[in-house]
Amino acid sequence: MDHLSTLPITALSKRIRDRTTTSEAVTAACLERIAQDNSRLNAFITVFGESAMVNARNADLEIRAGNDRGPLHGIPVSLKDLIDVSGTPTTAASRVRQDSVARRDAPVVTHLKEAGSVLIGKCNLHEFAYGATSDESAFGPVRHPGDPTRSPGGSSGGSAVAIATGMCVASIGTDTGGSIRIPSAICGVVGLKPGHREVSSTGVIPLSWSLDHVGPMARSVDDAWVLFNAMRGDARPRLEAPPSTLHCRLGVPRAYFLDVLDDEVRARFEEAISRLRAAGADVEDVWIPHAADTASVYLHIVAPEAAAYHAHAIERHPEAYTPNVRLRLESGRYVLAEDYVRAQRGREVLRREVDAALDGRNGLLLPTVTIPAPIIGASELEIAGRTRTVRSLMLRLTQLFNLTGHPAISLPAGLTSQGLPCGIQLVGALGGTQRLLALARACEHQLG
Amino acid sequence: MAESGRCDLAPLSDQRVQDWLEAAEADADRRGLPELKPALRRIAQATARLRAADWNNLVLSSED
Repeated sequence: MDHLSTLPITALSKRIRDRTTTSEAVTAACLERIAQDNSRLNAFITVFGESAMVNARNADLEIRAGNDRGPLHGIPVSLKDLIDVSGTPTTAASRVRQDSVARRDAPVVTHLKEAGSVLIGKCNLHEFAYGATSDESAFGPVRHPGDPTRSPGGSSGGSAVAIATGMCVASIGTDTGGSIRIPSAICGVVGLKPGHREVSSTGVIPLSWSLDHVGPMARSVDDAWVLFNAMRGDARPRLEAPPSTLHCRLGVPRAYFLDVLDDEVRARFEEAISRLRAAGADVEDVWIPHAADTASVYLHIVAPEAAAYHAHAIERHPEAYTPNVRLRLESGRYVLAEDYVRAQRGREVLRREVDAALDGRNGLLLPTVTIPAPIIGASELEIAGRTRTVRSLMLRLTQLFNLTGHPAISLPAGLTSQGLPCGIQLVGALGGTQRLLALARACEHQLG
Repeated sequence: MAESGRCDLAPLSDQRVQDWLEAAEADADRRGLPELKPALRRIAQATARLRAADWNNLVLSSED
């Protein structure tokens, strides 16, 4: 992993400043990887080859001239193709968006440009972010870098694959039920869903306005920290050394969250707990009483909110959607208003229960996804003695925190015997994303 | 197809939800979308669970 484009932001930033490399060289290395692997993995929809090289050369000139904008300056970053970049298409991986060119940058893009990052392209995704496998896209399925017959997770699948393979150094994704954390876990990278509304979603095509979150995907917690702050307009966050011991209290919500798990995912999770305990963490079980109601609450919010956004387009161009996304959107039109209201009440109950589980603790700890990368096109799997949809297995451990708005981050936590990555998820208090990142950094240090 | 409807689904015990499902399935047929029925059945299952949740009997306030 010594290829320039596979190093983290923090290492590249240092190398660019001590002139052992340049932004131009890093950007060229990413473009080389895209040329080499994108036709196989389908991670990018649009590549800003020429403009990325121009911006990289300009970044080098600015840094040499003493105009250093911070650690993102000169770093190649990609964007999920739901996010507007002025003058370029925002496809949402859909034929519905054919010929849609953004008139202005999303605020998050403005902040990234101000921080000096080099935008290298727009990544493939599950159409309109309405799926967790990234295999329903007008541009073809995104493929897992470790096994191209498998899904990289989704909906920000292209972003995770691009980071994992060195096609970019970091990416910006969106997360409505786990769409940053799921592909991050399945591809072995770090993904942060910030607290609700902490990062602007203006200029980002919505899936579900009250559940959508915009956040960073990267190779390390430090990189996610740099990006998260830059996305909010702070290009120069202060990084401190991670502690050598881990003095914290973590709660593990076993009931519901650990009831349905692939055996190897469970083994990696229990190993992570053991390592964190050995490093000094106090890990105890906690209970979220209505956790088993999460999926029913979630469905009654995401489905009608998505249907409302797409109502006009689905009337005019139903054939332009991929078949399953169309059916999900159509089904949302049948949810009754009274059930949407019941779900909003359930959401508040769940938020209070997560708050209670976090009371007196630094975070919650659970796996990110119940299964490793599924085979592309698989719709169902048998697990824990029952046949379940892949979609429900993918979303089961993440969607609660979209409902409640708590910040959550996925960290790599080892591999299965087939070499497929597993992830663990840390969840922090509302308003505590910076503290969650500090905790995640300390855990990452202990987990190696 | 992601929503094949082959997964274990319990019978609906809530008559109002059953009525909703029948009406929704008839509408799907009328619109020429019979492939929508598995997704509607899944929503019906979730709706029955949602309506049975005990928080529907609680009064939530900011002081709770």
